[in-house]
Amino acid sequence: MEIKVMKNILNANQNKADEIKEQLLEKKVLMVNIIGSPGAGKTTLLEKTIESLKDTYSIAVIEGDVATDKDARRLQKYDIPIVLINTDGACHLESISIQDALAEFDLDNTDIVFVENVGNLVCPAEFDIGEYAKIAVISVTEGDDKPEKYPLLFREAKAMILNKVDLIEYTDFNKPEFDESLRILNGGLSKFEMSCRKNEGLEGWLNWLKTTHSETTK
Amino acid sequence: MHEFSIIENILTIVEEISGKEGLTSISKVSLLIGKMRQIVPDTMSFAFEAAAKGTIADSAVLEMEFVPIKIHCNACENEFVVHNHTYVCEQCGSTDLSVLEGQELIIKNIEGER
Repeated sequence: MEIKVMKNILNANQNKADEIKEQLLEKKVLMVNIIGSPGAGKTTLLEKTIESLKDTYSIAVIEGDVATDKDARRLQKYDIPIVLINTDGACHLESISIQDALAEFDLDNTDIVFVENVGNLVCPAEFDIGEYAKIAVISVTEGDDKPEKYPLLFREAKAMILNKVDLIEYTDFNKPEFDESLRILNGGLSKFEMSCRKNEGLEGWLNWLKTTHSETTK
Repeated sequence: MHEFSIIENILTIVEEISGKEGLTSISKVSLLIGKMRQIVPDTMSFAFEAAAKGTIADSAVLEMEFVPIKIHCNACENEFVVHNHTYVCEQCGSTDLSVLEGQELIIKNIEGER
């Protein structure tokens, strides 16, 4: 016999994500989900962003890491709340572990939560963790073909950070082709170019965060 | 490799429904998968075969039907299907679009015996 089901497979994850969204809205917290390859510069981006914003905003971080606490340790110097989620080999974070992590924070006194997802351009894009925005981080050394190869992330992201632009002359990165592939994938994407290591070009990104924070927590 | 995580979710739902409907074995599970989803069919089949061992869906076939990406243009109200991940209106060139279909990840139906 055939049974008609028509049920969303990721319902369990989505329901939790929706609960998180509601909770963050009520607590007036902006949560962004930072997604990029291993080595794209996600943790360095967080370091520079926290350094610039920590005097004005109270910031908390959820660090997704397959096995180590290396990234979480790098952020300890800022004396902000950090929760580390070791996924034990899993390639992405899901909303259930995010909900547990958020319970560790004093959300009444938190402005922005940064989630550093597991280094991967595929799987994290598939799972809603209740964030307001997915942020795609890519570095010029990875090549200009990444949007075409990983369309879902660049389609779903609200902002994209192109990192390590100081190295562009040493690579074959084709900027016009990269820009065109982003335009046809996601015309509404906010784009920022920077070198996190040199702390150059972050202003646009920081302003985007500030504006987004005030717009989403009215 | 998120396919494994997806398959786990599928098996949970399949077992839940089998319990409710009193099924003793499952012969087929049919899915609707939007083309925006980055699902590799071979990986899905492999993951299903591996994860279904010893469950009620042990000998079930996994059937996948892919749903094209259907778009509504918010500028000119045109509706079209996206090819090659080009999210630009074919009629007016706008990128202000809403996705109507193509994001599905749904169990459509299951077949089994009571």
